[in-house]
Amino acid sequence: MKMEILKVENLNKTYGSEINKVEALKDINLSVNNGEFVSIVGSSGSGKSTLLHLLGGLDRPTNGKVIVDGESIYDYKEERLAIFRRRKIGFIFQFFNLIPILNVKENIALPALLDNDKIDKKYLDELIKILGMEDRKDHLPSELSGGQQQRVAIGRALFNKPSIILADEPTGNLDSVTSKEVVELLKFTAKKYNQTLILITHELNIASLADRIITLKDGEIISDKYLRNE
Amino acid sequence: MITRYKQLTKKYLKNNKKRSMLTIIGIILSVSLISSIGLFLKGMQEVQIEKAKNTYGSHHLQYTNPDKGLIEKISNNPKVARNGTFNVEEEFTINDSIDVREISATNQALELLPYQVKEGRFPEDEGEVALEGWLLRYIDSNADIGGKIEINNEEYRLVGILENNIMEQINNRGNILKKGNYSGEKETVLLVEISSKTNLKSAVKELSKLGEEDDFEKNEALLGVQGASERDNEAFLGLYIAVGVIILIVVISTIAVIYNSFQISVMERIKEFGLLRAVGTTPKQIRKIILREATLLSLIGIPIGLFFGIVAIYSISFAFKLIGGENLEVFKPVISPTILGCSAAIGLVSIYLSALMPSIFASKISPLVAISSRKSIKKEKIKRRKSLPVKITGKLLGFEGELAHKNIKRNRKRYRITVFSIIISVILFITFKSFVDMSLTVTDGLKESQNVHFSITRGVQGTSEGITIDEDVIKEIEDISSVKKVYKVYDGYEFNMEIDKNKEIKELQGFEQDIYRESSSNGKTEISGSINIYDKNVLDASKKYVKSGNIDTEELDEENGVILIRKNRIFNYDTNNTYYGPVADIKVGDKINVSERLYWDQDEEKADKLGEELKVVAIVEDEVFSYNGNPEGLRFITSKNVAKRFTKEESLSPINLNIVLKDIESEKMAIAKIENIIKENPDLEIINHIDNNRKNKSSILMIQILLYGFVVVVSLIGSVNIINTLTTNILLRKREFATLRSIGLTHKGLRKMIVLEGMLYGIKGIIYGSIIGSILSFILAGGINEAREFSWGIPWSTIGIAAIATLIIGYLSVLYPLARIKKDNLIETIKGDY
Repeated sequence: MKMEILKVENLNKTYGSEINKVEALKDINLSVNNGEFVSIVGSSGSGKSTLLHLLGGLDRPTNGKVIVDGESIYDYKEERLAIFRRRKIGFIFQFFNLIPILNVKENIALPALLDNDKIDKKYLDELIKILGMEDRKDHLPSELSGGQQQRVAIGRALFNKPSIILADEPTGNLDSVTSKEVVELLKFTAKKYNQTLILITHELNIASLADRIITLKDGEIISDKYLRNE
Repeated sequence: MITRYKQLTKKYLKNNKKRSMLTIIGIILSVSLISSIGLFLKGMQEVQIEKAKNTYGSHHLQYTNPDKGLIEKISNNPKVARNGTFNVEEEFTINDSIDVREISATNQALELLPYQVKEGRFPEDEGEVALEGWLLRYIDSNADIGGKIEINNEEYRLVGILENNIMEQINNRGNILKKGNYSGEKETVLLVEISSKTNLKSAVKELSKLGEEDDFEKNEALLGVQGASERDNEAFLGLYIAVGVIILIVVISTIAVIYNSFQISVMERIKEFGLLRAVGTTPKQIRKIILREATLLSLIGIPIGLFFGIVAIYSISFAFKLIGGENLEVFKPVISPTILGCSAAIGLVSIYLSALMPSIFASKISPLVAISSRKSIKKEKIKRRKSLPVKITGKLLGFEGELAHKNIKRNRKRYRITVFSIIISVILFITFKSFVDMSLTVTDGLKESQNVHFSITRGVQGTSEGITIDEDVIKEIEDISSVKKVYKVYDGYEFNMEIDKNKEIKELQGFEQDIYRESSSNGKTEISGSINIYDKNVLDASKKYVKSGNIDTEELDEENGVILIRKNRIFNYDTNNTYYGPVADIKVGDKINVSERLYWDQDEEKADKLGEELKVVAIVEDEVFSYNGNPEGLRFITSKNVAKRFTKEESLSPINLNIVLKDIESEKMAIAKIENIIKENPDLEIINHIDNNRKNKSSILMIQILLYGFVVVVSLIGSVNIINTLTTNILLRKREFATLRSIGLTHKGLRKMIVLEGMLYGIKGIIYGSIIGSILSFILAGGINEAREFSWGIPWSTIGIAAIATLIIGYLSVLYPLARIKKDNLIETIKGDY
């Protein structure tokens, strides 16, 4: 069952003003369906990170709309936007960005903690098992390797069962073997929980694992190809 | 595992034990300071209340000749705690001089009257009496409690001895207490005490309406010290303002510490907050996390602070007892829940105030911060230009020095916070220390007088008869083996003098009392002047206080020489301030024309023309012995021979003697001998200064303990602030230091750089802080009511102490983070943020 989960309309983002104005994104239009795995590629400075931040409600566009599940998210105030991020979006960053004082379990459960929800212990254990972190669930981030940290970050992104996972160069800091493992894991969990996965990378072999590759250059989409259609 | 996001707070605090500790110490220090100030004042009030109760009675209101209805109304009023009636049954005189009143009172009235039972109890039955100890000696010195006693030809049973009521004793009035009931026959007085559970002021208002104006009286002395008097509020206003200012200062320093601590801890975690924001923490939740930190720290810090406040107040009380003994009771330590509650509230409010700004700052952190790890470099706008000071430090202290200077300038916010915290500490220290120093110099005016042990003075009778002390008496006293010196004190003589117009002090020209007057003769200014005679002993003792010139007895005699006391205290009726400084601009060598001698002759003021000139040979800052002369004119000291020329008197004899003993131990023996010498002359009295001085000296010591204690605690708060900022300043940049080391900066070089950085912050803080602190101390100097110190000087020594202390604290506080950096693994630090 295909349905549109994410829609971008005339999205613009400019930095600076007048003389040193930089147009990071120019009139981006984009539509992503439920359950799709999209890679965004492009050279450094092409605007791919800016696009991902705007998709996830981390930044605010200069103009244009981002519609997630039928809701135009930039109509929201900051408070509501934060709650949107917490419930609908799962972020994975290049530098893992775990909270150093929290252990593996706590870092994964963080989004639910922010909602003051009771933690679904069963789901947490399931996730930890999928991530292969059973024997390290009480470790602190500083006691983990890079790949392990990124797996924890994936767990955190998945914990609130978001509809969209946004990954910003998740393998940028990992060796090639680990990189492959991490992306496979992402792909697997996205399928398992029926999530849309949008991933930024500059490594073509990683990008080619996706269903669809979008290429950005100087703030514009220059190609949008479907590799496989399921 | 944590189960709620709010538990993050606890984790953060635990992970940052050192800083949390410092913050808590800051809270403890200020809360204990505030509460001990409060408790001290409360304790002082308590003593005042007790004194008022002992002298004037514990009742708040009294009604004369109340009718039964009024008594009924009063006893049924819930705002009344105790009430009772008394009447004076009989009055008679004993020993020709003591008026004795027999007071018959109900039980509660006995408790409300200003009499306390020293031994035994109050009378409970008819035929029982209690009376003051001193009075008992006159009536029947052999009477025992429980025994019979005959008073005014009637026999009673003595059941109690009362504490002496000083007021009554001075007035030679004694009281005998008896038990009695309201009869309404004689003039009866109804005493009313208002319950402590109700508002005193409104209760007084309400109850005062019940009585007729003529028959109703308030116990103003008690109401006044309990803060419920209508009249005395102005007197308390000054005290309230002073306390307010002091507490404000403590609050400001607290806010500075806690604000810094929170701001730093937020800056340190900027990335983490960004991440929390990215995964969907709302700004409100971020604020909550930080405000919860404030709450937790308060919960720990405030109770401990209150505890230390109580400990402090009992220690002060203990120290005061050691210094002053029982008879110098300044305050009574009380644990007042109101004061403790208020201190806790003030502490809590200032903690929240200081955490608010950082929490708002944190809630505004962009979630993007989490994503870019380059943030710390990108965000800082570093000035590229090489400024002159940077070049100079570079030249002077090498590359590390240059780096250090660049470092402190590169982040405006951090620079400001650090320098601000040092400035605040320096300001507080300088302002207070100089304030304390100033107020202490004011209290200690008379110098040599404090070393005098006894004085012999003329009594009231003797003064009006103008008698003098014979040389024989002086000789005899001098011959007592334990007497070291006898200073003769002569009468003061008043003159009109003339000075040049340009010697006038501008500030004094506008004073209402016409300090400068137009001279009749030669366009000069006429000014009052007085001369006191010092004998050789006194002149010798004065020598060490001479500011300029010198005292030479022969020169005095030959040249009409005088010694000027430079500083006068002159009250300005317009501003209600006291001017404290010279009355005219006189220098050593100046000659002053004495135009008239003023004196009283049979209640008539006379002025004899005089044309003598005197020459100032020396100047002392302040009066060395108590001076007898017009404080609004020039005050001179000279020898007997010179004085003779000016007064035209044949013989001048001393009117008082000041006696110094060789050894205070011989106090009792000496006093007995002196009493023996002067007993033939009934007009002479002996005053024991040893006792008074002891009290004076201990009061000064007490004030010093209090004020310096305050300064010490305030400086401690300031030090916590400095340590906090400098330490974290360095720990924040661990990664950067690791990079520097990886490219070859030795640990020694790093150490040099960081220490220099701390020093540079310190120097900047000291410069600004000293300037502002000095300005504040100048303003305060003007504000000290009693002492308008004309020559305010920059408090250099205080600034020096502040500077050295800041540099030492600055140095010590970078040592710990340095040691930590040294322990860290280079590669790990460069790679990760953990």
